[in-house]
Amino acid sequence: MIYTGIDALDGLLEGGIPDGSRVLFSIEPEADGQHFLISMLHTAVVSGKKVLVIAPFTSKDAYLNDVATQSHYHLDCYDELISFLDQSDVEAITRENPDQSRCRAAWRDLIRTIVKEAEIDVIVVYLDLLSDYFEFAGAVSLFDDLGSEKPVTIAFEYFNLCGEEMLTSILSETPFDLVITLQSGAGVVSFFNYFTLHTVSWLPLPARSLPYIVTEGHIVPYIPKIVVTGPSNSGKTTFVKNISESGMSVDRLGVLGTPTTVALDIGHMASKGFDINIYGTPGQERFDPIVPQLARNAMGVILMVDVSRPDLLPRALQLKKIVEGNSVVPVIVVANKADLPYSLTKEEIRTALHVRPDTPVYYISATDRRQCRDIIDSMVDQITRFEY
Amino acid sequence: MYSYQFGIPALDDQLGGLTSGANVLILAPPLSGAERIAYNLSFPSESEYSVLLSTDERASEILNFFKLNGTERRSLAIIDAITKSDLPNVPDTDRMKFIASPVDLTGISIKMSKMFAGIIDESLKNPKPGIFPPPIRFCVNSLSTFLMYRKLEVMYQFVHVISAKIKKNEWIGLYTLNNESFDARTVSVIKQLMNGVVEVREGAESFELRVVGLGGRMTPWLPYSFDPNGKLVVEG
Repeated sequence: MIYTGIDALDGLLEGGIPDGSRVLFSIEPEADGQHFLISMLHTAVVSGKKVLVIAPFTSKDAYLNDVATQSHYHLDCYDELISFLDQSDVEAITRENPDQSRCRAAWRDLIRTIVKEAEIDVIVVYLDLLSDYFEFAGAVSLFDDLGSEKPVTIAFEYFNLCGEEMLTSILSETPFDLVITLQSGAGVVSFFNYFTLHTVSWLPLPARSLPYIVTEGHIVPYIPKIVVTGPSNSGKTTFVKNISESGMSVDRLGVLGTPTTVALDIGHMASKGFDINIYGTPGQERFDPIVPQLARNAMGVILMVDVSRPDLLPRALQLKKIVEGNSVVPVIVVANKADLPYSLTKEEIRTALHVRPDTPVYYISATDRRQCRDIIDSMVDQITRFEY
Repeated sequence: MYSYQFGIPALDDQLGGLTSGANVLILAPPLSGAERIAYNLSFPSESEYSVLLSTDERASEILNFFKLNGTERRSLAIIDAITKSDLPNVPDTDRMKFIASPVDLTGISIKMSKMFAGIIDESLKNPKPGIFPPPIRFCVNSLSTFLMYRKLEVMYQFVHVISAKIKKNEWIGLYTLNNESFDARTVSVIKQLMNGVVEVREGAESFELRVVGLGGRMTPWLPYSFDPNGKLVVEG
């Protein structure tokens, strides 16, 4: 098993990448995605695996320096584990073998020799020049039948200038075990990056795009918005405050002397390797006009109901409709205040709220921090793993 | 709509400047000073920025050339794809980024994107906000070098992505290409992505240039020279 070194991604892949897999990182223009392969290379050498890096666009020194300054990984400490084919090697091979088929054979021999002699476990390949020379399929097939006794994991990085359709047609000819595409949401500037698990051969994962931030060269996948909504006094603010490392609420004393949210609650937390922002909406009807703005582009909805107040379920349904709008997002129903006496069953809640049979309904008490965090963990699974 | 000026009286008089969003190819034989023409057309006017992608000249040399001609340090950003091959430890700064070789289009794309983002970010923080997005003159010197390293198909796609971005943001793009090193097909493939061409030829006494295509017009052949600072002087 080889880890990608990105916790959330390793979690999604159920531990990492099985030995002997073929992995493709397809980077689209402007996406800041080179750290994925570098992170994988780093975790491989840290765990003692022997790696061959093929980087025709650069020299070994410049590459190691780039990795050190951009990703803060000092790979030069692992010199004995890393074999390198860089610009000068590529130029030498091309110079000595002007004929393309001989050039190809020379590449094959060289790779096989290094893999055998250095007992390579992982190969990291920057496809750029190789795919110019031998076309994409030809370049990838250089790594067929390496003649090694142990399984060799091969990770390719490809700069995909032609978009999704091109990728699909390339992949129909050359299958991979894992394909991750890295894209950027670009307006005038590229304002966020996201990755998509395009293919995972060993898991039934739906293709889903998840944003990530690059900080100090490390990839942190994040979920920019999960919305918590539900009728007034159902426990949304308590929930958001209890899950967050730093929560904030805009509220004021209501007529009954208890605080009521007048604008929004906002919380921030980390779960399963994701950085998450959580927004709580006000529950009172007079704030309904601002709810769609708060809920815009949410990646998940937590619908909170007070389990001791079945009379408020119609209001919860109304809020659910407002929050969902026309978009399809995963929903979790949280039946709060389960520490009080109640008689509502899951089925009654499902029917009243018109939720699908596979939508989870949890009974919790929002005053219990652990239960609140479990809800978020489940929400992350809903967002990343399940069809909705 | 913002209008860019050539900054060269003879051309501005005839053409009234460059329309925003234009991609212009500078098609010139060797030794004609194509890069100097490209730099001259890239000089930023007030509140404009210049971003250069250089495969042929080091960032430090380009910086000197622009400084000599009165460009402010903050208005100039350079992506340098040659220095790093000799000096692998050269560090990136806000306005200067280094790529190991012209082969590395992935790295170039990422660093360009960061450069543009940085400039836009800065322009938003400027106490005197101007046009949004800020006008940028983007110059590639030279496509010829890129084509030596990468396949024409790949370069076509790469320039396509860049030129679309230039067009969308109403910037201007300038690209130099040596017309004697490549066959007619290569030149015409690259031309497809352009709105205009500055053609250069060797005249009887000096090199001459003409501008073709921008707004469907064509200037006559105009002799040109450079002053001691390298500023382009076009007669006519």
